[in-house]
Formats: sequence, C-alpha cells, structure tokens
Amino acid sequence: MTLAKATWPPIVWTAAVLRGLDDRAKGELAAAGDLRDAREGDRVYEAGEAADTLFVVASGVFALRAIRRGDREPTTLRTMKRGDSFGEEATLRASPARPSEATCVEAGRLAVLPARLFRRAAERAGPAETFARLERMLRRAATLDAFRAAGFVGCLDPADLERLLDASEHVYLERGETLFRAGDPSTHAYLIGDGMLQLQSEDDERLHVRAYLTRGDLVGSAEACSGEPRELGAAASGAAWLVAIPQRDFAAAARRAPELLERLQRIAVDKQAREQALVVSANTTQHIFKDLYRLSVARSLLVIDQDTCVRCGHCAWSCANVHDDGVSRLLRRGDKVVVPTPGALGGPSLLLPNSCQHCQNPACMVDCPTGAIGRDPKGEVFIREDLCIGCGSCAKGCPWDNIQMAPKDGAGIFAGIFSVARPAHASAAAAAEVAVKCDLCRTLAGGPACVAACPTEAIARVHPSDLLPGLGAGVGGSPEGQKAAGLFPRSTRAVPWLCGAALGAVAIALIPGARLATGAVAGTLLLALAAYTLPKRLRRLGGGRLRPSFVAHVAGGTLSLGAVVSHAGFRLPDNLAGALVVSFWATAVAGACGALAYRFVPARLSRIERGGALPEDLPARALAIEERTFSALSGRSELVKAIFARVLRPYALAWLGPLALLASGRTLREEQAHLGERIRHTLAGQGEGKLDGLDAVVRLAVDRRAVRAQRLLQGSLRVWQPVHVVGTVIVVILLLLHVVAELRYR
Amino acid sequence: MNRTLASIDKSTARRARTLPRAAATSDVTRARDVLLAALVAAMTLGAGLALVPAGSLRLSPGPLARPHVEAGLACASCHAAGATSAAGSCAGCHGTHGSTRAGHQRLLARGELGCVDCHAAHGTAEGITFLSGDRFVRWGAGPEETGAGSGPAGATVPFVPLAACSRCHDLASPRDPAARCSSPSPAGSSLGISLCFDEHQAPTDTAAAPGRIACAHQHGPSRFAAWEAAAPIAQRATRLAAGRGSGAWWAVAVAFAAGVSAFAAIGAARHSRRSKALPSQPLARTTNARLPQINASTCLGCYACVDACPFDVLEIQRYVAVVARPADCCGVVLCQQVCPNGSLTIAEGAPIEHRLRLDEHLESLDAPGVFVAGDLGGVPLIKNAIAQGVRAVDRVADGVPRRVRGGATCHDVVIVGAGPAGLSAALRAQELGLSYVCLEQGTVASSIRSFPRNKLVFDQPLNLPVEGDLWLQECTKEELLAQWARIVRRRKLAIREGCRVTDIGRSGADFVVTTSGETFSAARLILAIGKRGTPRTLGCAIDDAAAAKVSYSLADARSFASQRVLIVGLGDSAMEAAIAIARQPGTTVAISYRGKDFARGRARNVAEVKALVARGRLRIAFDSSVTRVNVSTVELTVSGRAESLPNDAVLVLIGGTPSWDLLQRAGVASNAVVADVT
Repeated sequence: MTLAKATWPPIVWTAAVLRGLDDRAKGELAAAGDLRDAREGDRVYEAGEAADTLFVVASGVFALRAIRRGDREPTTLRTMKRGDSFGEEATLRASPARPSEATCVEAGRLAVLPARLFRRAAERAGPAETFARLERMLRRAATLDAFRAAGFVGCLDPADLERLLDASEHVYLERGETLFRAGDPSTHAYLIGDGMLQLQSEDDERLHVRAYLTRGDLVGSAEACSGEPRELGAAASGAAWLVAIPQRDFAAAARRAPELLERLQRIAVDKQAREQALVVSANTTQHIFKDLYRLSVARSLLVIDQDTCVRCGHCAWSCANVHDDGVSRLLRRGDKVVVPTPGALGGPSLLLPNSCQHCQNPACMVDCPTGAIGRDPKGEVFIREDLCIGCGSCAKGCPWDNIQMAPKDGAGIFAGIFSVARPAHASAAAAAEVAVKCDLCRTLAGGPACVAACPTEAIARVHPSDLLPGLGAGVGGSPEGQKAAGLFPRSTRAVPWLCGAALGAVAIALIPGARLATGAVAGTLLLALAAYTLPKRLRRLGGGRLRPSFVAHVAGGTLSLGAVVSHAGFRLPDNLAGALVVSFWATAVAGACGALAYRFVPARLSRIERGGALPEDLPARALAIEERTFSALSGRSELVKAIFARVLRPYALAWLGPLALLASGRTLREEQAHLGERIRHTLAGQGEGKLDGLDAVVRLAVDRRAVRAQRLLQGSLRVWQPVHVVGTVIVVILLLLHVVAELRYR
Repeated sequence: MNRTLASIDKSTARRARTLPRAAATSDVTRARDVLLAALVAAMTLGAGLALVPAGSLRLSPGPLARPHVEAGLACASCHAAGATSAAGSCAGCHGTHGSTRAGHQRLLARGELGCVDCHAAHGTAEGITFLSGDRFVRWGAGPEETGAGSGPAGATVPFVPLAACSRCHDLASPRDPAARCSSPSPAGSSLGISLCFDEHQAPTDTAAAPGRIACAHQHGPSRFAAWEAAAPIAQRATRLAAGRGSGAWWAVAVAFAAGVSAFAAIGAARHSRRSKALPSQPLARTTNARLPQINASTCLGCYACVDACPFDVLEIQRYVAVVARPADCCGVVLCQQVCPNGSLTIAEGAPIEHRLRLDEHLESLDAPGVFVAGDLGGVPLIKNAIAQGVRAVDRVADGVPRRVRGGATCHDVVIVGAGPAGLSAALRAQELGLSYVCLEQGTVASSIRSFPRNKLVFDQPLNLPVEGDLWLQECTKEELLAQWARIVRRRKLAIREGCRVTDIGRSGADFVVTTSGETFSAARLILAIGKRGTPRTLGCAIDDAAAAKVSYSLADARSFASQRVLIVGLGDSAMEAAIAIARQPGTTVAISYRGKDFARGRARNVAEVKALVARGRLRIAFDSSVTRVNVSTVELTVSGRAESLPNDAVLVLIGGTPSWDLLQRAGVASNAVVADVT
C-alpha cells in the first residue's frame, strides 16, 4: 500500500540515512517505498533472506537478533527506536543475505525503502559529498552490524571500535577468487560478512582444504596480530563479502583488549572440533569437504547411493522419456561424497550427479539477462520457456554444469531410435537452443520420474542438512537430521520374494502335471516376464514405482525356471520346441548373471571409484591419467623415474592387475598406501630425500589400474543385457509359434 | 565436464567459456539401441524360419510316414485328445497283430511291447512302396528316395530298423536270436533293417485278410513277392538320411548373433559419431578488416559474445557489450554466430595492410613454389593453421615432379617453423611419403605460449593429419604442448629444433635454405613462421662457456628448480616466466629491466609479480642492463652502479623481431608492397 509523501511522518525524514536528501529524492523514495504496520512479535525479515530493502522506524520498537559467534542462544544485537534505520547491508554493492533477523518488540510502523532505488536517489541528491558521507555512514553501519554478529564488539572500547569502523573497507569476492596465498604478508584481518571462504594449502599442486569459514568468522586474525606471513591460503567457495580491517588497527585494538583474542581463540577451537568430526577416516576416497559450498547452497539435492546403484541408467533414461524434447536433465557424472556415520568407519558413498539442485541464490537466475529463470515460493527454480533466448549465460554460470542447452524443437520421445546422437559440438547457429534443467517433474503425478524409475531405489532427492547431521547452522545444516540410511526408503525388499520364488520353482518342477497345463503356466509366466518392458515405457501415462515390478520380474524369472523344467523336463528335442527351450535357457542364464551382478558388483565398484563415470567416459579418463602421469614425472629425480619405469608402469598395465585389485578388496587409498609401502620396502631406506613427487605418481598408477577395474565391473553390469533382451524377443516369437503348432497338431 | 572446486583455476575464477550442451549419454541411448537390436534379431529370426528348408523345420513331433500321409491321417486320428501316446489306436485300421515269437507274445500280453516300439508312425518309420513301371519309392518319416526295381505295383513293405530291436537284443552276439534278423554285412549292423519277415505271419502264409485297405497289399499272393523284392533293397542302402529338425536351432543361433552384433555395431557407430569432428574448412582470407558492431539498445549483456571471442576483443561495460580491443579482431566472427538476438553485426572495416599475395592454394603469386601457411598468412586460430598446413602440403605433393620425390640430397619440401601449421604440414608430408625437413628456431609450437589466454578452449577437436582428433576441450597451454611433443616423438617427425633460417636462395629450380648449421635444398618451400618473429638477443658479451645457460624461451619451469635465475625483460612473457619459475621450490629469481617501472603487460601479471616481490620471492632491478654473462655470475649495471649476481641460468625475454625480411628473401610480396610499386 503506497502512501504519498505527505502522509509519511516527518520523523522518517530525520533518520540519519535520509537526512540531506533533497525534495526530489524524498518524493521518489516515498513513491517507491511504502509504510508498513507491525504488531508485536511480527518478524520483519529472517536471517538468511536476500537483503534488498532498507527500513526506517517511524514508531514502535524493533530489535535485531542473531546467534553470535561462540554463543548457543540468540541475543539481541541492537534495538531500534523512532528515527533509527536498520537493514543497511542491503545498500552494499553486492546483495548479501541478512545476517540477523528483525522482529517487532513494540507495535509500530516502518518505512520500507527498496535499496536500489535508495542508492539511485541518494546518488542524485545534492553534491557529491552528500553521497560520499552517506556511503560512509552505510558502510559503517553494515560493518558495525557485522561486528556485532561476530560477537566481539563488547570486548572493544568505543574509541577502538570507532577507529576500526573508519578504517575498514569492504571486499567482494567471486567464487574461486583467492583472498591471499600462503606466504603473503598479513596486511589485513578479514571478517566474513556473508558467503563462505575456505582455508587451503597446496601440496604437490593439489588443493587441500583445511577449514571452512562462514558469516561471522574472522580470517587471519592471529597472523594480523603477530605480523607473520600467512600460513595457509584463503579462497572464496562462493560469492562473499568481507570486511577488511587493516593489520595495524586490528593489532592495536587486540593489544588493548586481550580478552578479544581469547574469545576468538575459543570460538576457533570449537569450530575446528566440529569440523574435524566431519572428516572421515582412511576408509573413504572422498570426504564431504570437497565441496561444502555446494551442500550449503543446495535446497534439493539429487543423490545416488553408489553402493546400491546398479549403473543401469534408468533414471536418466526415464527423465529423457518423460520430457517432450527427449533430453535427459540428469547426467550420472559428478562428485562423490561419503556421508560420515557416527561411530563407524566411512559410510555410504553418494554420488551427486549433474542435476539441478535448486540453490538458495541460484547463479543461473542471477546471470539470466531476460529474467527467464525464477524461484517459486516452494523453493523450486524454474525456467519460463517463452522468455529463454538461448544465450547460455545460465549454463556457463552454474558451477556444476547442472543446466544445459538443448535444441529448441526437440524431436520427441521417438527421437534417437532412428538417429544416432547429435554430435555435442554442432554449432549454435545450426539450431535454436533453450536452457533445460531438472524441473522436479512437477506436472507428473507420482513425483520425480528418476526416483520412481530406479529398480533398486538408490536415488532420492534430499535436503542437504539431512546428509550432515551436526554440520552446524553456519552452513545450512540442522543439528538433528536423518541418518543417510533413512534417505532411501526401501519399499520392496527383494530377498524374501526371491526365496519364495525359488521354493516355488522347486515345487513346480517336482509336481507332475499334464502337458497342456504345465505348458500354459510356463507360457503365461514367460509372457508376463516379457511384459516387464511395458510399465517403464508407459511412465508418461502415469505409472508407479518400478521397484515392485523389478522384484516381480526377478522372482518371476526364478519361478519360470521351475515351470519350464516341469513342462519340458531336461530334454532338448530336435525341433522348434527344442529351440525354444535353448533360447529360454540362454535368456534365463543371462538374466541370472545380471541379477548376481546387480547384487554383488555395485558395492565393490563404489570402493574403487573416485566419482561418477559413465562407461563412455572411462577411455578418456584413462588417457587423461596418462597425460597427467607424464606431466607429474617431468622434472622429477632419476630415482622417481626409475621407480616408475620398473615398478609403477608394469603395475598399472599388468594384465591381471584389475582382478588383483578387486580380489584384494582394498579401497583406492589403501591400495595407494600398500603400493607405497612396497616401494619403500624395496628401497630399504635408500634414496631418502630424492623421492619428491613419488606420491603423486603412485596415486596416478593406482588410478590407472582402477580405471581398468572399473571398466571391467561396469562391463559386467551391462554385458548380459543385449543377450537377455534379444533372447526375450526370440523366446516370445518361438513361444507363439510353438503354441500355434501344438494347437494345430492336436 | 564437471568442475569441482579443486580443479578451478587457483588464481582467478572464471565462468566457463565453453557452453555445456546436453548430449545423449549412453544411459539414454542404450535402451533405444537394445530395442533396435531386438528388432533386428526378430527380423532375422523370421527370415531364418522362413528360409530354412521345410523338412528341417519340425514344428511337430515329426512328419508322418508316407502310407499314413496318403491315408490322410491327422494327429487326432491316432492321438486321443490330450494324450501323447497313441497306444492301441493302430488296431483301428490295421487290426491287432500278434507275434509268431513266444518271447514277443509274452511281452505283448504284458503290454510291454506295442506296435510303435517297432513300427514308428513318426520318427523312425521307414518302408518301401513299389510303384508301377518298375520303380519304387523308399520312404522314411519325411524324406523319400526313388529308385528302379521291380516288384508288385502298389505293394508296401514296412521296414523295421534294427535299432528298435537293439533295445532288448544284443545284435553283435551270434547267440542272440535277433542275430538271425541282421545280415553279417555292414548293413547288418544295428543301423540296418531287420530281415525277419515272419514276425506277424509266416512268410508263406498268403491268406488274404478281410477287406481293409491297409491290408490288401500285406496279405495275399503278392506279399511274399513284395518281400523278396524289398529285401535286397533293404540290405543295400543304409537308413535314409533322417531330416534333422535342427533348422530351427540354426535360425535361433543366427538371430541371437545378429541381435547381439547389431547392438555392438550401433554402440560403435554412436561412439565414433560422438567423437567425430566436423570437417573444418580453413577460413577464407578476407581483404578488409572486420569489426563487430553492437546495437546497445537491444544488447542484453548476456556475455555470449565475450565468451566466444578467442582474443578478448569484446567486453561488457555498463551492461552492454562494447568492442574494447578492435586491433586484436581477427575476423573469425564467432561473436555474430552466438549472439542470441542479433544485436551484434559485423561491418567491413579498412582494407588489411600487408596482406600477402597468395592464391587459393596458399602459394605465393610472386614466388612460385613458396607456400605460406598459418598465422603469417593472416588467418587466425590454431585449427585454421592446421588446415592450412595440410592444404599446402597436399598442393606440394601434387606439383612436385616425380624425379625428385624421395631424393636423398634434395628434399621435396622444407618447412620453416614448427608451430601448429608447420607441425600439421610435417605430419601430412610424412603421411604422403614426401621427403621433408622442418626447421624450428626454438622449440616445437613455442608460439602457443603467447596466445592470449592461459587456458585454451576448443569447441571442436583439432583434426591433425594421421594423428586424428586431438580433443582437449579446455586445456592449458602446457597440456597442449606436451601432447604435441609426444606426437613428434611417437611419429618420429623430422623436426630440427634450435635451427634458425638465415637465408633463402635459389639454385636452379630448387630452393636453398641456409641455417646457422646445415644447408638444405628442396623443390618447395613452406613458410609457417607465424608473426612473433625471432627473439631479440642480449647485446652484451657472453662467455663461450656460459652460452649454454642463456635461453630465449621458457620450455619447462620445473627444470629451473633450485637454481638462481635472471630474467631479462618485463613484458607479458617475461612476467609469466618469472611467476612460473618463482613458484618452483628453491629458486632465486631476479628480473632485470631497462625501464624504471612496469610499462606494459596484463594487469593480472603485474599484480602477481608485485605480490611475489612483496613476499620476497622475486627481485626486480629497474633501470638495469646486463653487461656480461659469465659461467657462474652475471654482471649488471643497475642505475649506474655495477653489480655482480651469482647466477645459474639467464632467460632473455625482450620481445622479437618479425621476420619480414625472410619473406622478402623468399620473394613473397604483400599487397602493400605492390601498391607502393604501382
């Protein structure tokens, strides 16, 4: 409800931020903003919301509350009365999230000003000094709020505080930008106003993340006080804004307020202890630190349990099937995380495939020049297709390649049957493109198609906080969360059904019966088994989950063994019936191999994988490992090169090497340690000091062998399928001919 | 390609420059492929079943014997509904026949012996029917054979195979009563026919039976005659080749094989399609410079053109795209292709100066036999350079006269320069079997290092001759160079590094190329020297023994670990080399620059160098010049004062002189020169 300027109470215009504006600016602000009434207890904004408005209190009392660093309970940071303003962080150059929440303590009225308009009006109002002063005021106010949220304002005396406020500057970083490197002189101490930073060290050209720091954390305070160069580097995991306090001022303030440093130390130790708990032990190949930022911005993460996933690709296939353009929004490539389970070594490995995770502040939405991407109140990020012009900014902006370009007029669900895949690098001028990404299948009854289509129920959409109990509020986690096992509710267990089917098969095989009756039973079973292909293709017409059909298929297959034995015995007559029996057995054996592979291979495969890999990626990966091996070797000592030539190269290329790796049951990290031990044992202490860079080469050799093992296992998961499907078609045709022939000759 | 945090460039973040496009992965295509394969298998099966000889395709337990077929019997005539055995139904037509043998009578009485045990209606039924005209037909279940032989016309004699008797009798033993029924000849083995004619009736009994059709020929006067005629025939031939019913098995096996191999073939076709490059045509050379023009009122600021430009010509300022560095525009016009709403158009600019006069095969119009390939000819981009190298060598191979090909002293072609164009020309020449040598003043493809971006982005694979596709979508320069070095080694290309061409002359029809070392002569010359030119040398005295430690380009920073290095120069390449070497462990790096401050170079490099100086990893001596290079020290003059630094290596990166004179010596002219003349 917009009220004209005349009805805005004059107290608003006397607020510090609005003083000095000329009439024109005031008119614009009054026209653009509005007055809002607030009752006691109303929440004006929540912590973490996007900050885009500024508030001035016309009447009543409001308070800012947040959990300060080192505290467990929220405290009131500041109380605002008539004439005070709050929410100044909205006027900063970046648009951060609210660091605290604002509530109404006593009923009153607020003037709400859109921040961008406020800046524009202020920039144009009066001479340049007005705006410079205003900006300084806003900056100090935002800095002060950040200090308060960090919790050390109370330790400083007011003169020091003023000095710090004046001296501080604001720094804005993009994702991946380095703040400082290890060894740089410590010129500033940084307070993180918003975003996430990671402290990292580079050993051997690989990045090791030592800690994550979020809003309210102080970076580099110890070094700023002592003046030593930086020990670790710091880079932004996501877009961040920081308050940079010059070293001299910070050191002076810390000297005069010794309890400040103590308090900071205590906070740091607490946080470190919490983070240590997240780092899982030697059993894992990846741990969750790899991309904590991703987990903190995602709101709906698609995860695949690698220990159960049989790499069949049904999820991607059904995604392509369900959408009109035949393009899958899900790619089974990506990072792997191991969810720490308290009290156990390692935990389930989860793959985070390339599928939109509906971020809190989506980079795609921010980059889109036409506003085609939006976020609805339920949290889903969607694309308005008529506004998309195919410029590709969103696709380039998403850090995880979750949104991609696809041809505009897709060829439909029958595409690809009669055409091979479109080359990935066809020029853009050839076809108009639009951006596509996961839309959570909101038009489909029964939820996301990928989740419903998984035969082993290994895929689910989760909230990241469910993955990480105890991650802490700072990174979006909740203190209590479900265990990872609860993420994948297993609706139909296969083992009981299979046991029952096996018993049934034996029973049927032993019961004698008339030829016609047993034949009818066997034939119906076979047709029912062949009909398994229908429910998944008819998903568009609304189907349920695939899991029950899958279990029924495997159980039915077991039963059919008994049925066929009871009908045909073990004879192989020299005619069509014999051919039918032979093709049935071929199909059944292939199916049994597949079932066994599905049961035993995934767990083994996930231990030797470093991430999600499709079968067509593996040869390229092998080549990339070769390249990296050569570049890791160049410049190393002769001893390392000799070890490579005599030990590691034969190890990587040994014929039976992958089988040895699989048989040993080791994970990649254990295998690396084992190999390193073997080498050191062979060297028997010689050559110390010349082994620089050996670890990297050992790791690459292990990777090389692991890639071959992965190809073997992935092949075993897929090789039986063509035989099984082709056999099914042949069996169905022969069955029909057999039935016709039998009926004719009766 | 998934970019995880650890793989993001550590120095600065960049949005991706390549556009992620949705491609059908094997998950999606596999289901379709399997369906196709199943379809192929089904069709093969259908064709197989149709084409297989009818006799070998047994749909039923087997065809009937000829007499039964002629009597018009069907399954229902003998088999009661639902029963598999036809016991007892023979008597309906044939009547009950006992046996003359006591043993068999006992078995018959007990029901353990039946008609079909000796006479099969399907399976092993055999017999002979005499036709009129002294012919007989010997039939089995299904197959038939005709022959000449006389016997009472119309008589049918059923044969009982000895295999039926051997179930109980041991035919090899002479004391077995059944031994009398088999002949001692090989035909009398268990594969033969029983010769005992007296099972049901004594042979001489010729009483006629009451009038059933089936009986007419078995009883009566012709019975014995028919047997006498049939017995030698039975002895003569072994069993008829029984039709195998395995035609169906063959059809099934072929269908399986067809289905599985169809699946494999489709998969292979998809795989090769995925990695196949579109044929790249070298860019046509333009006469005028081209410049992008942007309509600011419709430009959305979507960064598509900025990301597409390989030379960073465009920038986004105040939310719209502007042409920031027009001088760098090379006319590739990718920006126009990617602009989503047509705000960017290409306008013709001023005519290009110094455009070399070449024909469409890249041969110089003024100096026939000299080809120009690559950046020197004015066409940018690595993939165009590669295509031009191929085209030039193809033309050379066409034109080189036969007598010279493969000559030992005189090569077919000398290629000057081993950048992308020269490398591609060398590969092609080797493929075509030409005798060639490639001369390079520095190291292979060292000009790639000066390419504007740290990472090279390729939207299409680089299609090298013989090697095929080099698909490094987003790679660092070092990776590309390492890959090419490996190709040179693997293919054993004849590339002479460190060999700088000083003169080009002619001797008759051949070119004589003089270098600092050898002299080469060839029928043709390809100049692929790029535009960077020869590195400038230090003008000071260098100790002879110290000459090896002075280098003019940075090959691998790691080889400088633990050394004390002096870098002369402060341009982009000098700064990048200093940064790379300072990052190696144990190095002491100093820079000597004759100016007083940073004069040129990218802001990023300047900032990085300043940061390293602040950290103490690097020392810059402004206003200095090198006076002497000794074996273990180097002498400088810094702001007038003399200084001596301990030193292990000197890297001179003070720019290069473009080799226009080499072109002149070769006789290649540019349009500017011609314009001057006219």
